[in-house]
Amino acid sequence: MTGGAGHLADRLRALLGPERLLDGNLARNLYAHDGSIVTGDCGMVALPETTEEVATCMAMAHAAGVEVTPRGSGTGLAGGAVPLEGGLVISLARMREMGEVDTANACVWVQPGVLNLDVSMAVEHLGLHYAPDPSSQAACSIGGNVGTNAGGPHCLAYGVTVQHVLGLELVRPDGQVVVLGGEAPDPPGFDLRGVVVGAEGTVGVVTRVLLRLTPLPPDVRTMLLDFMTVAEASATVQAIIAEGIIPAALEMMDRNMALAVEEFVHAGLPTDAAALLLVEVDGTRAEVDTATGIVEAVAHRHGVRTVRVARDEEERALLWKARKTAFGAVARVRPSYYLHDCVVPRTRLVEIMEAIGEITARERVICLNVFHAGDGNLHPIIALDRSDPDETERAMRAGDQIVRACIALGGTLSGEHGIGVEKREYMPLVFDSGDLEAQACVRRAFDPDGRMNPGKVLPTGTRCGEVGLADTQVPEGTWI
Amino acid sequence: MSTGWTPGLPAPTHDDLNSCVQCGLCLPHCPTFRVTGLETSSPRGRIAAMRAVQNGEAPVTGEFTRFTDECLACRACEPACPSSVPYGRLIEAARIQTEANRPAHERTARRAGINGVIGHHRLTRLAGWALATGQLLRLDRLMPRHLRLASPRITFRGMRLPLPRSTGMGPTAMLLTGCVMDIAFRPVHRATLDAMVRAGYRAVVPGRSGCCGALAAHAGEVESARRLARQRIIQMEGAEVVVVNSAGCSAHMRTYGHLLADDPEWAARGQALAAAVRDAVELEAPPGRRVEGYVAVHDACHHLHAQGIGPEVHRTLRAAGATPVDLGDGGRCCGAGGIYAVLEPGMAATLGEQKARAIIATGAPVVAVANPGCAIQIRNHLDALGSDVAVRHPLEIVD
Amino acid sequence: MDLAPTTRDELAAMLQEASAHGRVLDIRGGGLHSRRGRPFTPDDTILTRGLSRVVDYVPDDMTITVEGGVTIAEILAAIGGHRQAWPQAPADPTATVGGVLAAAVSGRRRLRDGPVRDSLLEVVVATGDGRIIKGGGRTVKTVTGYDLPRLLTGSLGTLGVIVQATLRVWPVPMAEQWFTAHGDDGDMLAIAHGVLAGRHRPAAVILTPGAAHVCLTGVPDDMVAPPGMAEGSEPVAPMGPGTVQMGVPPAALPAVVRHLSLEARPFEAWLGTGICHVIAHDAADVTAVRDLATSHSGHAQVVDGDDALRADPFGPVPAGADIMRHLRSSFDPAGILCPGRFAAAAPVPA
Repeated sequence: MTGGAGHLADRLRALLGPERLLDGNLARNLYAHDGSIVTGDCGMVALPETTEEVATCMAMAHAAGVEVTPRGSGTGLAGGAVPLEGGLVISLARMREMGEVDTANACVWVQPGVLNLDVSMAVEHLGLHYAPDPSSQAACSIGGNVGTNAGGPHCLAYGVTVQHVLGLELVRPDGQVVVLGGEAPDPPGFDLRGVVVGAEGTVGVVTRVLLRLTPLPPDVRTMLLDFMTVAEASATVQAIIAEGIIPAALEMMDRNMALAVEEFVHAGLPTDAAALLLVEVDGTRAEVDTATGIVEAVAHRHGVRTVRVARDEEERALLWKARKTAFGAVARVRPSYYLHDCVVPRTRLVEIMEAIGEITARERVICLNVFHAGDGNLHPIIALDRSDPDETERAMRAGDQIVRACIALGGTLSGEHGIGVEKREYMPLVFDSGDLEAQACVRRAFDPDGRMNPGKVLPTGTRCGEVGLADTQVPEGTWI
Repeated sequence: MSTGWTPGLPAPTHDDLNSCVQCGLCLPHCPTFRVTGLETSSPRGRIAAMRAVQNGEAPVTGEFTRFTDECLACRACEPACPSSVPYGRLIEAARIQTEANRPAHERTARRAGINGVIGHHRLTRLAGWALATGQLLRLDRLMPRHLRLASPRITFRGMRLPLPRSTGMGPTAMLLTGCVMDIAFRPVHRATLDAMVRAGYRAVVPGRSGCCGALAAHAGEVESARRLARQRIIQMEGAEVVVVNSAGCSAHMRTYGHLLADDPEWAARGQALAAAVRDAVELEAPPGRRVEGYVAVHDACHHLHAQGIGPEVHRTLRAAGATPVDLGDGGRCCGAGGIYAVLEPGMAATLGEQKARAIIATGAPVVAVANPGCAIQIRNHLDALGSDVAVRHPLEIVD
Repeated sequence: MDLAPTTRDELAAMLQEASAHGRVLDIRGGGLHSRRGRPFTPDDTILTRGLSRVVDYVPDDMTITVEGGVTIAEILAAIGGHRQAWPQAPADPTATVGGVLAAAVSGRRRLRDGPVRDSLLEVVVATGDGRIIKGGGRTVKTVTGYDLPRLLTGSLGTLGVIVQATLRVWPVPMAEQWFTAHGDDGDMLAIAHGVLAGRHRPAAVILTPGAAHVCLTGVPDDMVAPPGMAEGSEPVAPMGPGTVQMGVPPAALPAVVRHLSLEARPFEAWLGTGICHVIAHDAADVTAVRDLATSHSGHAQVVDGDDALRADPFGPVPAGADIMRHLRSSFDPAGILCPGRFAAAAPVPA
């Protein structure tokens, strides 16, 4: 730790007290990880409780020239919350107050440490919910969701996090506090709110978020379809949407995954099927009836074996539990896993599933698939034991080939997990150097010194360059 | 790779540690994480810390001890874990390690309570008499607040409440009278014996019963725990069922097989006794009387998380005509955690107060609590808030 | 002088040239949304209609990639046969994709379908100094890199010229029906409120002076007239010399409507979204409408009007203006793209 950082630790301890400034070796070790397999290097951890404390922490880090990595619940899968080069981790886990629900405008201000599922649970009695529902929603925080622009099964119809964040409060790298967006739609100027969401903590620390709350659908129906081939299931996904039905959620699970998860959930998943589709439709009773009929007809045309319709809320909850605990259940197969969350155009699902099968067979790794089929957002989970260097090597190779196959089919790197550390070196597969330079400039506009979550999102060596080092001359009286 | 574990002692195993993929789904279920927001007080963090020791990156002392001491061992993380990480087993093994490495003076104080008093029936009774005398003379006001909050209310009459040696007809069911239960909760024993008879057993109270060893095991005192387990086996094997009315004890006795697995002479006997264990609420005996109105239900961690017992309490109450009310806190630990309240008073007090407030918020006049540690903690925190909600074992309520 | 590129390379060359010589440029598509922001005097105007190719359309992926000069009518011609639509866009056939996005103009079905910025998946933009930059991705979901599509949406041409856009399109609903009611504004508000609070999931609930209009979309069985309404038609947009767009918290809109109705101002209020268009005749009208918006924690911007109406088009300087300025200088270092458009009457903080 440099002298500046050591001094910073003392100042932060004086501000927050010894319980909220951690710099012991083992504590630093724990904060050098998140939900991914990335291991970093953490200098110290601060746990502020108010916007003012965050602003002071940021101003102190600014004065000391120390790098800052914001962290929510640490459930991210791309290493976004892992500090790479020491520095200060600001954990927002203690900022978990929820403001009063504005029922008239259907929104609520929350602190970033509030957990995703807690929002929906707190507003359910008002007939509302917070629509984005990542599988980790019981554990992941709103701040982390904002950082990664998190998705989830229901984003197929309802949209990802950025569509549900009306405004936010951002502590900038120098400690200034700014509020972007708000209840009133389309404020003048650039949509900075839209840029902060998904910026993976590289533009500042989000300290309050105004969430849009969505009315619970009047009716909902959940179906489990099982198929004897992955190709039939993939074709069904495509055909359902081609019929003009956008289900609330349309998820696929392959046999390997179903086996692992059934052992934990006991949801009665047919573990002899090659692929399962979890389809949920919602809307008015008439919309739900119509959509259900179409989904069933399409599925039968494509060789579905059985269609199971959840009879009640309990069965529906069980089917969703099976879906949402899938990642964790991988440990039943191997102690660790490696995955990408590439997206392919929906029309290429059949091809990519075949390609994934071939790649993982060739590399002799176990692959479990569970993903948002409706929007082509894959999660090929490669199970591995990291203490086996050979298997780890093969897993990495397989992951690499899967990414390249997705891009070759017109896909992109990440649908919802973010780029973090894990995927940054793949960025040149989808963006040329000019594109990346422009992104570096966006980042620099928020963080001129490059101290926010360094090493994330953009590949090593990407610079904003000489362009626009001085502010453009603007006519008098104009702000842009 | 050299590990940081002390050789020759049980330690978290590689396979158990490896079963965690760091997904973090346990975090919101962990009461200490809910209070602190610290990775270091979460199950995932503690497992990562164990891994660090395992990999030789950290010693078993210092920070590691602090992180593991803070764990309530409530095991609320276990049902939440999609990988079924055996967290309870991990934390008990980690504690065996931290106990062995604790500085001598700390160890003596901790051990005196567990091995020296609770492990010996006569000393426990003596301690009970002392506490009862103190409380009668109101000398307990002189105790430190955290000890007072962790102490059961004991009366001489309660301690002397006679128990029949045998009652009822049918297959033999033996009651574990235990340690704390026996001095502070004899009325629960009476209610349990009645329930055993109603369930069709010949209810037997074994002579000079004693501690099952749970408190010792939770504190990492594995040898004490084994000694007590052998005593209980000798005393109770042969009974058709062994009835236990303390959630912590029934959960622990069900692990006798695992506890004695390395001991060829005792492993099978341990397993057999474990198989005979029935928690008293599992008897689902017909109610002894009719009960009207609301009953708040506190699910003990050692019921809900360690044994999956929960609906039984509701059914027992409902059968008697009562309306059970959940606390709406997701079954969060009350902070008692065996002797936790004595060792980690700050955290225990925060959780105890949360729990008391949740109980008061239900508006029910009585709360069903099936574990002595929880009952002591909840009674004392309800008192601190000036509440007169009664704290009763569910079988007492329907007796 | 008008510059009419037909390829991105031609456009890039024109921008490089203009940057090198400091020639101020305006950008024009269909010309529907050009009267926005403070007036400025361009040396040249880039006409984007020549960038008119439909680059890629895969009906089953429900994405379409078009050049910036393609009009809404041309998009509908391409996708309508597949029973698809771009519901977030306004229903102006001659508006170009580039113009709609640069001005962030959302359609009337915003209540159900969301704002137009949610439909832009990938954008290719030519910067002020003639670099061609891509952001986002063509799949229906992506978090790959910084969100350039959102940054460009609503940038009013000050960051670059939109060369190409990939849009997410949606199935045309099985049924769609407008319902109308006429009466005094109080009654109309009550009717509208009933629809919003009911189980209809309406696509639009719109109030105009003396009338309520509701658009239901979904399945035929649900096309039942809400209480007090009869089958009707889409409202006719209010006409006047200028238009101010108010944005207020949605719950404030009824109060705003009552106020506008008292002052007899022509308006079109999109209930549930917080957006209201109000006719303005002069700068005093703009001020009055803005004061009304501000008193309800909202804002107001002139979205159409002659030069006199646009002296103070946006009101106070928004938060983060310095960040916006940094962004501008990276994308348009010479400051030739629509300079002066984002202006404020109040002094601008450094």
